Amino acid sequence: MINNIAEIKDDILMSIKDIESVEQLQTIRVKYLGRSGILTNLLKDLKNVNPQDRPLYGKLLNDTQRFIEQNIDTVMEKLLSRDKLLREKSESIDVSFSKITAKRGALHPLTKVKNEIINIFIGLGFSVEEGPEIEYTKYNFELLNIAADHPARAFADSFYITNDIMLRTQTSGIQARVMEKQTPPIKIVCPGKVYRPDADATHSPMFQQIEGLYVDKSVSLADLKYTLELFAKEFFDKDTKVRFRPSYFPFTEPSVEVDLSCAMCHGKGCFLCKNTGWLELLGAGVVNPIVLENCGIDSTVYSGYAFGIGIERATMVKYGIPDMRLLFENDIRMLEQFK
Amino acid sequence: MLVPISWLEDYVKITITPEELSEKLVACGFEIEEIIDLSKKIQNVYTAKILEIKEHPESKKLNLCKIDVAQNGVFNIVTNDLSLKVDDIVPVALDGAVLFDGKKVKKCAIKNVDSYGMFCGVSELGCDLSDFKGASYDSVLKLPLDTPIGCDINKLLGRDDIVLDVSVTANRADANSIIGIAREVAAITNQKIKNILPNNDIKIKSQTLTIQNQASDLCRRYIGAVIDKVKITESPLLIKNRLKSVGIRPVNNIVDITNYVLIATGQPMHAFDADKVSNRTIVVRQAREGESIVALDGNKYDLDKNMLAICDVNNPLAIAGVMGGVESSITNNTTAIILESANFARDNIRHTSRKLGLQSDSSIRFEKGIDLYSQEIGMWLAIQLIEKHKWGNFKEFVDSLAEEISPKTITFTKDNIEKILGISLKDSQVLSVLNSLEFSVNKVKNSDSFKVIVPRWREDIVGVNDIAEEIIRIIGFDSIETVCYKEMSLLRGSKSKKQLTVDKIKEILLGWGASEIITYSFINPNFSSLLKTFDNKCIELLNPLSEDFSVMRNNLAFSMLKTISSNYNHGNKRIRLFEIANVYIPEVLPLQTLPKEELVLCISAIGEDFYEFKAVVDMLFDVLRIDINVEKANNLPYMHPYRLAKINESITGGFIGYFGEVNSSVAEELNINSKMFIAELNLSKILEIASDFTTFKIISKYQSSERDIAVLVNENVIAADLLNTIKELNQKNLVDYKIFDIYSGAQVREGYKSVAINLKYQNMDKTLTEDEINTDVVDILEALKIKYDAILR
Repeated sequence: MINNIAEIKDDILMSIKDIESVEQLQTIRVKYLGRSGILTNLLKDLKNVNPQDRPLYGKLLNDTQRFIEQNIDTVMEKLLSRDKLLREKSESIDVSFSKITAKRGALHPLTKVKNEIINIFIGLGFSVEEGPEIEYTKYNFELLNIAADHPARAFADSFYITNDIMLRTQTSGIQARVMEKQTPPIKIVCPGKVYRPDADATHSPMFQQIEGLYVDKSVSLADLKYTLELFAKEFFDKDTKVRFRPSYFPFTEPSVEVDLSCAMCHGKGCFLCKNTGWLELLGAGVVNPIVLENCGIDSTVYSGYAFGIGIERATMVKYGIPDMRLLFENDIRMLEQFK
Repeated sequence: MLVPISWLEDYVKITITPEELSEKLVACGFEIEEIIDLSKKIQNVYTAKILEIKEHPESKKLNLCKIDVAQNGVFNIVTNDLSLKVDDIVPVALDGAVLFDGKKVKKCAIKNVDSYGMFCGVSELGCDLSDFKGASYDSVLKLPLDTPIGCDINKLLGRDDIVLDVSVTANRADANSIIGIAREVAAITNQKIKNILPNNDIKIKSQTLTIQNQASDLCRRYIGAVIDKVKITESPLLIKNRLKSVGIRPVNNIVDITNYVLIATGQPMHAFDADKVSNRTIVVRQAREGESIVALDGNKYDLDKNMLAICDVNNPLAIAGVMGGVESSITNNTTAIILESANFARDNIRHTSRKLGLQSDSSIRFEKGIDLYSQEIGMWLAIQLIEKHKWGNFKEFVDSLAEEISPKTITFTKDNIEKILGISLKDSQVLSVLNSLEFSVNKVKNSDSFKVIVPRWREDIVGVNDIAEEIIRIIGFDSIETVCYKEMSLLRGSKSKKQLTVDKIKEILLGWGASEIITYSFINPNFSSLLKTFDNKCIELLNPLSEDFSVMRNNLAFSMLKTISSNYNHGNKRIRLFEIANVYIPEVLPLQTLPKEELVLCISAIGEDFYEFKAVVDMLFDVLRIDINVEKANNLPYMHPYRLAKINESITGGFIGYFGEVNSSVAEELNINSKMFIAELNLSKILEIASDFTTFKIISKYQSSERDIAVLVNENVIAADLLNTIKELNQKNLVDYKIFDIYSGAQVREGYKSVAINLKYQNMDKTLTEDEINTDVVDILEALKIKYDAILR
């Protein structure tokens, strides 16, 4: 019996030594440990063994069983990990190849720049207001101190629908609407599409503006300069300088053109700024008291400043886009550059 | 406007270079478009005296001249003008010269004889004979024999000036003149303006001239003057050169004077032949229907009652402020003239000019607006020039303005100005700036106030803010220190909820891979032929740029399809785009009130299938927490009649948009041979009903169970109806249900389809038993059977 067991152990070690597959190993397991396996049968025979020999014999069989299990398990583990490696090897792929492309869409560059500008002003306490694109001349002109005989009202400078309904030429109408219904402090930015009959590389008949308005007790031109300097430093970079030049808009007095030091050459002179070192980017000024009064605000108590930024122009300057018309072609090859 | 510096010097001493002057003008509000150096046009051309003439050794058609160019030296020039004689004075372009047309001259050998340049005729110099008194012309220009030699031809032609191209803002009508700019220059360079007012009183009482101003609202002032013993001749070089340097062609002395005065003072002038004005009576009145006039340009213009005419007792003599008539114009036989210096209303001039399609230097100037003071200055300068040149005798003067105009006064304190500008000022600064601009300033006794009298030409100055602007533009904006607000209300900036929702929608679409486009709000009215729709009730512009931009769109589909098409035809075969913009819906046409502006979201894609496209629409409504019903529709002719869905909001049933496949014939028209999908959703409505995440729902800890059932239904039964039937049962434990497959074909009866539905059950408090679930499933099958005759497969 003992010899027999030693033989079994040897047999097992022999048969699993060069084994090739998990299946073969399973067969061996069944051969020894299966329901009618060699060792199983020996265990069944234990009841026929002499009672005083049983403990010893039993222990021997149990040890043998553990011996077989352990050896099979060890080989099994080896085989499985070998098989896994083989499978993984067969699953080898070219990771450098992009079979499927997942694409995120791109915001239109004008929206991107508009959002950027809006966010800067939200940070400075401005709220966003919108208004109608088709507007009464009253809001586009009259309330803003643009009299009936003002040249800006000519057919050549505005699109008309009827005598007193037009496409807004500026988003200032929103300011007038807000001032009519709200008492100061008023601190708003008004983005939106506006329309003027011009079409060339630097003009589009439809373009977008953001106008800002702050009306409060004692708002001054110096406050305007401070605000626009903060804006310019955020929008371009912290070294951007702001220069005011006198100008004229009927709704502000004093009025200024605002130049920013060139974003590309920082004032040294380049093609973008036509060698002047400065970019003309905004119009601004102290709100004309006549406009405040027109909108029902007491100009002896309140004052304000207003400014207007052309989004197309800001976008062209920021990204070096040479022709405004490109912005309205909506060519995907252009749009996707802004994702 | 063009401002020759030498002309400016008539009125103010210029102490700085043109570049410095330009910088200062820019800083005080006058942009300089260009600094034009007239002497750079022609270079290295001088007057020369012919010393010797020899025949060219190799050609009888050429002569060899030795010339003296004074300090420049003595040179040999070969010429083909055989009429030249010794001692003739001629212009010569020396080696390196540049001619009027830009051509360069180099020394060269002509038939083996060196020529150091060439003689010039009038065309090479860009002038005409009349520019030189006593000159003659064969091929080479022969100058008068007393012409100094070695003289730069530009100087001789008066082309040695620097001209500033100044742009004047609309409020500063007064600065559209040499005198106007001179006043600014005086202020910014601390000079005094030279006296431009007449020393003698020119208000001579009229004897023969009558002026009847019957339209004083359109003509605020009319000054007429009679000049007799008039001699029509050519103007002197100075006047002609000045006119040329600002782009005006000289005609004769009287016409030139009217133009000269216009440029110098900003006041348009007109001269009538006095003998053509019956009764020497000028009537300023609105034209009568049926009246017409042949203007100086030779064309006949029909006038109407809105146009202002300058007439004699019978007929119109001129279209007021726009153009004179031929009949009363100055001719070489004119012996007496009536000079007009008037103030016409700018909107009336603009209206007349547009209506007649006729523009002149005068009408352009009137449209900018003219103050009531310029008429005197203009008339005075004209008379002074005519008398100085002895071209006629000034006889009479009539002014329609009865009384002196009283000047405007403004009272303010230094504090007012400081508050507007946000800087501190000294009394002396206020005084000196305002004085330099010819405001007369007085400190009000026993108060802090200043009282200023506004110069009569400054009609733009009406209040304290204007005074503040004058001060800051002269002392300079650099004096504003940028320090943080002294006082301000603390306000929170934000976007509105709706604006934030629009941003969120954009984010969703970007993540799906769609790019945003922005197209024009106005479109071509022929959009309806592409969209095959007759609903083209659009708002039309009165003055569109072109037909392509002539109506305000009532849909985004047209522009979207066009954009998809152009991208597709650039080689993009998979495209996803979206646009968010207003459409304009009129209530009545023509518009009485503002139209409705509805915000619309348009999504379009190419290179995918219907259900892939529908998925993004579903996702949007899912994220915005809007319950929708999707129904088949066939009411859009540009869409596939069997692949169009309308979307209704499920609670109110209100229509909020459509999506589907674009009709293949539309795609074909756009050169697209692929399936196109488009959705247009009414964002205005969606933003009203969209809601945000509000409360958190506890997730059940107990196991969920799923059941798949497949039922056979008539092919006309739609998925949404089956789902609605399940929904209406309101089963408490049914947490999710969806259709995951619809199949027709083999193994399914003709006219029927098999619909596979997935049901998911779960309870908050326990694991459901088989029985509980089965009862619910049976109820669903029962309901589907009753309503749609559905048979379990």
